[in-house]
Amino acid sequence: MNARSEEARITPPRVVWRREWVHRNSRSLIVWGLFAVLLAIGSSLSGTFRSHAELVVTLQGATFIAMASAAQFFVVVSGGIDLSVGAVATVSGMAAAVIMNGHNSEIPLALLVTVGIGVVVGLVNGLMVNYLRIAPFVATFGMFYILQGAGFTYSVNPVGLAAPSFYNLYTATWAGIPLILVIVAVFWVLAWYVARLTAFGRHLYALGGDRDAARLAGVRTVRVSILAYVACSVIAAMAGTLELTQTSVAAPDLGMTLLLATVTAVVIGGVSLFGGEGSLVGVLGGVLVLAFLAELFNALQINALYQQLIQGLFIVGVLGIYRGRRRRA
Amino acid sequence: MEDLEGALIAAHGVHKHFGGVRALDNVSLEVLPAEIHALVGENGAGKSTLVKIMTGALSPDAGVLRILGKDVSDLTPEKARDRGIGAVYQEPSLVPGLTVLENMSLAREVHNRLGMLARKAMRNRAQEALDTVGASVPLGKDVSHLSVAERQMVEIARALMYRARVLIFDEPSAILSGDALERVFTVIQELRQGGLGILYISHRLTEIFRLADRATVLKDGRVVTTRPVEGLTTDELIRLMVGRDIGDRAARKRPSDRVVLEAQRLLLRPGSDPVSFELRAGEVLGVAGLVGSSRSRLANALGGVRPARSGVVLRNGKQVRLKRPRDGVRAGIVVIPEDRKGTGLILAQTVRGNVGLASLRELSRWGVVSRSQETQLAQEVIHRFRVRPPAPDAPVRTLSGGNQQKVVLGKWLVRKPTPEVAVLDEPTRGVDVGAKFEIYSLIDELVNEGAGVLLISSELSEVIAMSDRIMVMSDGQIAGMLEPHEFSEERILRLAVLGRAHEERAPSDDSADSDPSSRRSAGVVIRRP
Repeated sequence: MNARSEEARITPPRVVWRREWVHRNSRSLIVWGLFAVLLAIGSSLSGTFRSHAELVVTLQGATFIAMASAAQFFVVVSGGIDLSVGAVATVSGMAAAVIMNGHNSEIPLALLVTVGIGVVVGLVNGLMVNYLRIAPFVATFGMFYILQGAGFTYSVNPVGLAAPSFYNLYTATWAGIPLILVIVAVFWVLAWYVARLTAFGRHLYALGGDRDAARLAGVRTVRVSILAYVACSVIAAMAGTLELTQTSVAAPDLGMTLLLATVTAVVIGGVSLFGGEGSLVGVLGGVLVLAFLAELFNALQINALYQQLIQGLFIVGVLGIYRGRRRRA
Repeated sequence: MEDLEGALIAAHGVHKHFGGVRALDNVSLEVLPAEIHALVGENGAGKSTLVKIMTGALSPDAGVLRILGKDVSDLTPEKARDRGIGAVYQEPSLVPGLTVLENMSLAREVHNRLGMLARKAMRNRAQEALDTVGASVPLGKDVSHLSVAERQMVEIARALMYRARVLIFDEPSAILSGDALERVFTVIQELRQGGLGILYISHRLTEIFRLADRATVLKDGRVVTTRPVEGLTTDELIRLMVGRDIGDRAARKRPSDRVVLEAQRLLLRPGSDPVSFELRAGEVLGVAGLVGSSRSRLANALGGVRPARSGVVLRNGKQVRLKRPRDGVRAGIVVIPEDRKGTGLILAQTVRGNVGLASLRELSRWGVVSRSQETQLAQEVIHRFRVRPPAPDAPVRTLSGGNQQKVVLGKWLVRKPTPEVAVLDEPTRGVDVGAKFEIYSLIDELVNEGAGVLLISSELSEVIAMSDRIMVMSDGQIAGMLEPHEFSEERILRLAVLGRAHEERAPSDDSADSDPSSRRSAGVVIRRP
């Protein structure tokens, strides 16, 4: 009769830890599993898909979204959302392109301005959300319009020119790997380190999990929240500037696609839009799944019109799996 | 007012308003070293508000806080903790999704020069604190998978980890019972011996007489008195809290023979024996058992919230389908869940909205809800249960825990027609003596009108005083069905802990303290110290 509770009591701690680990990381495991399936299907159906060159091209194309998705992750996991990521990327990309204007000597200044734009936008977002108590959705949507408007007001045509050493980052290789991939990979490890291994990362999760409880525990919730928005905007701004390595010039719709892509990647990656749940490992999986899904469409030459339809079904399907799992848990 | 010598924390002349509502009015209170100081008062008297001010979660409109003899202004939760004020809140303040270790270290992370968390150091520190309170909780477990008792232990351990000088307990007995509660008591007494000051909030007067050295009574935001507990009687204390005498409850009719609800072989847990019982009209069937004995699963099965794995439920002899909550309501079975915030209330809505929700059909004509009738119904709940503040348009979220509980009960129990079967899961948890009395009276009334009531409670004295029969559950099955002459706390506990097999072997020498006539007149269930 008491056998069950006996068993529970004598379950070795390591087994408990392992079960907890699987439970806590189930969504990351699912999304990486999906990625593996996608690769397997793609490679078996299409020769171009499995070629090394194609792999590198797909990864290169995904770098900006990968960076911006990490940015989005910091805000979403803390219980907010940032709809201005794409617009920040656009504005900082335009600024950097105009400043560089083809001169290598201007690269440091361009990067400084990029970070500066990120800090200012993030601060304003964070202050609006935490002091004016504007819902994150609304506050950052407003910011999106402001920045987008500023970009188009400055110019409706592409402006500036990336410095040669800068756009070389996209194609130049280090040990056979394009530099851009190395840069973004280093950045990702850093972001993961912050989210997973530092007190700030813990506080982000705590904030998203239960803001009141976090505050009672002594977490400086307002400060952490503002920092999350700043980190997000800075990273997004860097993603925008980095996009110049591919485009060389900055059009006022440079970062347009980033917004939807980041939110999708974060959600597919298993991060709860209510905050407090999810991991960067999952988000990376989400980014890769999306990138390779698009790649698969191209390799199979599926009509662009169908692509959106299928992608939509895919997203809804993945989220359905997550929800279903949660209900059973 | 002068400081008492060496008060650890002192509040002087504290005022606090919420909108137009006065929560605290010139409140002063001191906690001394090696003292257990009880803070008592009805729901909404301002206890939680005072605690939040002392822990920096709220700032007072006026008044002074002094910690270790120093005035502090702009107290934040972080500062409070740095100065040795720890609190174990009524509503658990652990972050779901984070592990035990992560929660215990939250905002107190240890890290190395690279900003990397020193997991090992944190783990040792946390483990030590957990050992101090004698809790065996895996550090890597997500706190949302812990039982309420385990969570409470984690919170106490966390406070100890910060070397608190003052520990504030906000109604631990509202969520703990039995062994877990005893363990908390032991810990509290040990902490007092260690020189800590304890501020202990509770509605259970027995606990106060057992633990506390002094008591401060709050009523409607004001301090009625602060006195040594010694020399105080239960009746006196109740009168101070409620401001009136609590009368005796009305006599109850005898249960009829008509069976209003019959459960046949309900399987609550795989591997357990199925549960079968009958509930008669006019009967209170008490359900006792330890936390985790599937008492709440029974409630959920009867309400269609979470159907039993197999088995049949008969209402008035006819089989009913119980697959969804709606089925339960339709079958005339009202289930009032234990988790009031999660499943009992819509927190963002007003008292009126919540009360009206259960009776929309009765309140509306041609699909239009009558606002005035809805308000009237809400007023009835407020009046009968003394909900504070008495405002039908107050969002439920802003009410204190006990008052929320009153609203949950009220919305179903004032519903017309009154339910024929009511399943009450811990109906008096966290409510004050006055409201408790109202709830008991209401149960009496329901029963006198011919309803059958299933009363699930962890408070044994309550089950004994209220029930016509007591069903003891253990491990998902019925461990025993006791008739009034068999009622005793010892017997119930033995069944609950050991299950049926052991009970049969045990000697039956425990019928001395169960005279049925005396338990009926017990009124408010309070054992004298």
